[in-house]
Amino acid sequence: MENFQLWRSTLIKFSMLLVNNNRSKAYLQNLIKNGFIPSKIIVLDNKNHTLVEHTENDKIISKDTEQKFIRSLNDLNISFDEKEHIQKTIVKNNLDFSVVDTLDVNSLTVINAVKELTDEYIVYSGPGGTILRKEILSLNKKFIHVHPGLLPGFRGSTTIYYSMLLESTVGCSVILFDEKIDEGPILYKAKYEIKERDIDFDYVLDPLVRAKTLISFFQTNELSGMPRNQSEEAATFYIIHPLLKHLSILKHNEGSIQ
Amino acid sequence: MIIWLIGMSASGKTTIGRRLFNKLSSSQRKWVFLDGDTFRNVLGEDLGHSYEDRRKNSYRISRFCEFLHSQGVQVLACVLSIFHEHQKYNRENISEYKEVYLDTTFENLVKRDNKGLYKKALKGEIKDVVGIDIKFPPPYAPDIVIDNNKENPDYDEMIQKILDTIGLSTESDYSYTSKNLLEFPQKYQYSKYEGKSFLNIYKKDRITTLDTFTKRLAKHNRNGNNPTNFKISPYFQDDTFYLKEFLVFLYHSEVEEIKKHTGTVNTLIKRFEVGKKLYLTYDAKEIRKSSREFEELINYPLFSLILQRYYKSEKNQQKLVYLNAILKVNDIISSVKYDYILYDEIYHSIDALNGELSIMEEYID
Repeated sequence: MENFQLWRSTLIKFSMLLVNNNRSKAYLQNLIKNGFIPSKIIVLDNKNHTLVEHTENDKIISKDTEQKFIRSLNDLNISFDEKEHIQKTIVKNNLDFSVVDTLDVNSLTVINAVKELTDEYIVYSGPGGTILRKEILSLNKKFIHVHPGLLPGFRGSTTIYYSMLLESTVGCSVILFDEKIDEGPILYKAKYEIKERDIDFDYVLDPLVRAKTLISFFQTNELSGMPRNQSEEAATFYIIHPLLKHLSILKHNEGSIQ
Repeated sequence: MIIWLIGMSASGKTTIGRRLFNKLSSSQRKWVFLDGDTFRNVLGEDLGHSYEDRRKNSYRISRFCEFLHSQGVQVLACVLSIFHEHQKYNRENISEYKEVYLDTTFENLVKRDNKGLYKKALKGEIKDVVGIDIKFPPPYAPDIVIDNNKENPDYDEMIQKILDTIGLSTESDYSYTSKNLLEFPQKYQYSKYEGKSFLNIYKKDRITTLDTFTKRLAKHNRNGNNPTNFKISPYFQDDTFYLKEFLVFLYHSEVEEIKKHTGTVNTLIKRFEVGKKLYLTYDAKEIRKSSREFEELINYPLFSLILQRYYKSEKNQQKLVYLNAILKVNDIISSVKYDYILYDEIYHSIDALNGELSIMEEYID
């Protein structure tokens, strides 16, 4: 935490580890817009494998169209262009980057690329549902991750849906992944009430609330630093069943399920 | 689903049946088109057209449809069915059985009779013709009666009417149980939002499965079978944790006792969520699988029932963790419903599905 305070008190220097998904696009485009420029970006890209969260638009965008597809959340005054591939954003802004030919964040090629980074802090946005393993976490780097749930209450997966179902709000927590996998502190937390209806939770709401939280975290002077309480009391959620997912979305869109 | 399209010779069975089949085949399910005459031919033409031979053939078709249905195959059968007993058999033994009756006047049948069957029979040249010397009793309880007497019928409208009535038109299938989930585990990642109608699609899946189980249980009852009284036996032995024994123990325990095992049950949920399977044995220390055997089918309804008890006794967020697992376990049960054969498996599966539906009533109107 002390190191972290030091990092925050000086000019924020960081790198990024990204795959071309909506979350990465929302992060990168909004960080640049707000003047937070990564010194180096590692892009995970493999043409033979498709990300689980790949959207139809990703297929269109690979044809390098000039069209835009702006995804926005007016409540939070934030947006991103879904059709802009992250490599296009990188090149457009003359950023330093390297591409590793894999989608596996725990592979040796990624580990080697991370080793070469000079920054200690890395903003992480990997493929949906993957977990950083010991090997990559032991590189003496700190991975900044935005978890789409208010910790310690909403641990685990697809917490955005559970939070909407239980509390009608969305929370995000900025945490650090390092060699002590589950013990890093919660650096920053934010909770949002979303009034807009008919939003795609997976492809719009999730990336945008996370991006909003990341930007606020970079801008704030009030860091939490509270421990990530691993108390037995808090529930750990698993990937939401489609029925509960539907109930969560319907509750948000209609105010109630009936 | 098994559909019997019933009508006399020249009533339009094949014409309408083919069109209906084309429409059905565009859905996700695999359909088989079964024509009464083709069926006789496939079996080697060992039966004639006498009343008794027709009875045998009709029963064969019923049994064959039941067999295909038990394998998860959908059948559209175009049949000249004159035996109410076999229509009744279908209703009692096939959970998704629908009957469509093509009602055509005798005058129109004769007019459309390309084979000249009726004319020959009327002249006495041939025997055993239904409608002439064999009586045709219209089906006693068809799901839909189609009046096929118009000169130029609107077949599209007719097909749509049939699909609407038998409940196959507007709703797509509940895709989460269409494959055997023990063979092809469902990850549920980025599942598609399908709108409000999904709630009905889900419900229909559960009701269909319950119907299958109820019919199967009734058969067991008719045969005098009874449920087993599970014996409680130790669930730990040396370093091994026996899942079924543990679930049976919890099944018979009071709430207070159940609560003492919350940690173990939560670990079992964690393990289940990773591989979407329940294993025969786990190591006693960390409850990690120590067996590759996951096809002890009774464990799935028992686990679902135990989780339902936890769900009811829990007040905070953990409630949804239990409900989420219940839905996934019950998806597995529904996806392998034709493998549930033993009395206990079926009996507890009915309880597990009914319990889930009653919980879901808290959330869905």
